[in-house]
Amino acid sequence: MADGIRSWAADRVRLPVLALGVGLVSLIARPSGGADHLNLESGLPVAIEDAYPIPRGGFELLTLLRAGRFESRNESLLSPILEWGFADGWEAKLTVPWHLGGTEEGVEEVGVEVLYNFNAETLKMPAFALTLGGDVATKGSAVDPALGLIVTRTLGRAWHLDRLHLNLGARHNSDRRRRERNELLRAALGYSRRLDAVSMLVTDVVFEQREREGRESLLLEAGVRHQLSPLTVFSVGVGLSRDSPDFRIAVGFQRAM
Amino acid sequence: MTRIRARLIALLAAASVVSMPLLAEKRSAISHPRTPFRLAFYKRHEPTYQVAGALHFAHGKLHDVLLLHPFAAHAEADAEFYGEIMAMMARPPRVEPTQEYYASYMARVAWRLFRTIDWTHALHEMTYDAIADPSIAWPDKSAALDRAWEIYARQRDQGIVMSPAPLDLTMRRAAVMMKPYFSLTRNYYPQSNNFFYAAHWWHPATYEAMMTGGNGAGQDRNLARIDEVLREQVIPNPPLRMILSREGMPRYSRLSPRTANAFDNLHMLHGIAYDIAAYDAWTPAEKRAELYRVIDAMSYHPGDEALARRFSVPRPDLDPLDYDGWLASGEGSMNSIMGEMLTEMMAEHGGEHGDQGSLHAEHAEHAGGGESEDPMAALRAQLLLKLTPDLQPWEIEGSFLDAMRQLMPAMAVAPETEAAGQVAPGMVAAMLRGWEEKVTHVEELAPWPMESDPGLPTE
Repeated sequence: MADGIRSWAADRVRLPVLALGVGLVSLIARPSGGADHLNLESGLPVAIEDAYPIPRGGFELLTLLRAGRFESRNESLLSPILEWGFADGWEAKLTVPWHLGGTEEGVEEVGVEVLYNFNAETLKMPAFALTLGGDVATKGSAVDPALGLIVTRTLGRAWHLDRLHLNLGARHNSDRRRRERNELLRAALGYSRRLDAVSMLVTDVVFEQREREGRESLLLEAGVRHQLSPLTVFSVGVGLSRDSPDFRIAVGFQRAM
Repeated sequence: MTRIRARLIALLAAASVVSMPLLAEKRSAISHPRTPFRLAFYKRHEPTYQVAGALHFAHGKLHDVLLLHPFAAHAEADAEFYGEIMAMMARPPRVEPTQEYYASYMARVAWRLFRTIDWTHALHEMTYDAIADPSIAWPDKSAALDRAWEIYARQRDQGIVMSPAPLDLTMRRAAVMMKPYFSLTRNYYPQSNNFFYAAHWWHPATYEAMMTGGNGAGQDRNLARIDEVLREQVIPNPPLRMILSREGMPRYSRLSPRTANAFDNLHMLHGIAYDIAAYDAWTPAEKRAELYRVIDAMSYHPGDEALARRFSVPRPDLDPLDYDGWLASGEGSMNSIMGEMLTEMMAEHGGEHGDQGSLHAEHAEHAGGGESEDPMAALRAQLLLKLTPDLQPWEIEGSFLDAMRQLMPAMAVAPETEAAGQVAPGMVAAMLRGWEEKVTHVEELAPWPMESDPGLPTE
């Protein structure tokens, strides 16, 4: 009993301490390219992403902190993300999801991804991007390759910068076990809108196939991205699953390096 | 056979759909440059930095106001937007918005326009930072500004770098005076237009106040005063012309003529882009073609840097904190350039040279046009009225081309003049010849001495 309480308390202390640490690193890091609250980043604070990479030459450190109860399981996640605009239209991303507590404690896999944006949006044509990446297991050699399509479309005259975003993705389950899917599909539809000079509203609905056959998740999320300074974006959001009242809260810091 | 043909058609259709984004304009955003002095201006002069944010909100949003309101509703749109600008000035944004943030329609019409504006705004930030950073000794400011220019100019192959040559040359390359959109914003959206004339006083005044303030507390005092002058004197009584760098920041123009000229070229591009956006007769595709033609003309061309110091400063000892009648008036370098261009163009048409290009208030006496014995004088008078914000008594409605057609109905207009994305090459050549003749009489502007910090007591 005492061990259980200590473990519970340790989880809850460790999470904010780690978040504070990563947040501090991102705040004191030497600045360069400005962070941009208009450029949507997956997970900060909702899953939807727009079709635009960070600018060429940009280097950003993002920190996602997510906690709550989701699909009948407690979830605590701290995820540092590094992004680099390494060429015109290209972005590379490294994600290290660190699960805190529970059966998946630690870093089980590292995500690597490149995004290529094809075009600037025009009056007739949305902006398109493709993503290619995968999750690399930290134990063993399994790599789950993933491919995604992102479409961003500004709506009408867009006095408030109203935009729709579509994210479609497929991931191959390389380490497939019995009663698990071979391919996992994911679809998200999002909407973003300018609230004021430094704040954006972002909402989405996310459908995702889980590894276990017959299981899917449906998540409804809403959040705000807020520019604190030319270099720093703060985001906060909440997600509700169809198993509501399960919910999760996401807090993000994004800092240009 | 039919099935094969159907498959081929389907394949071609699919290929064309897939290739559309591949062939479309790239977004190609550029990260804000890494410099040792980055954000020095923001950290040291945040209230002034926020003024720039409000100005650039207005710069961005006016594109969409003009594109999305019918021209006939210009008075209402102008009044409503001016109210928005004043609200933003009262509570300026903490962070400077990009152009797209308040003008997503224009972003979809002509993305390169916004890349050009945002990148040159980044040059504004870099140069402000270089002077604001107290760790850069006063004699080293010139090298820091050169560094900022080199970073900016590195993107010249992207077609988004404004020319370091004086506006006298780039305006002739752009050749917009006879275009059917010329002067529409200035004459029909005067409140919004005049706010930008105030903004284009503020930018050079800010540089010059730092130049006269030095690295120490004088810089802080001067910038605080500039913000007061902007709100108390300039916005209520804006200049009636676009103040050029050589007029509003003579010391800075001598110190860094390449960036000073690039700012003039950007500020002029703003005005031309607004005129094109306001012109109802063209489709978005035509507006895009014309915008890109103008950007090409005003952007970096090989050899431009060698011309960077070929202009003169009318008031080398200007006090930037003193907003006087000369700064507020409509008479200045901008109108001189336009007058010279008119003379050069009309000479190409076999017209009279008049008085060698100058435009002065007395020309307005001839504005009646049809009753004048001298149609060239009447045309010159109409140009002066067109260059004056708002519609004036005796001003012929519409663009300057409309006025010319009314005053000189027999005058032939080259077909390229009214076509989007085109320009009459003979007209441009005539103006460039005119400038080449004039520039031989313009001495290279001497660099500004930076040996001693003006904020420190002299020995």
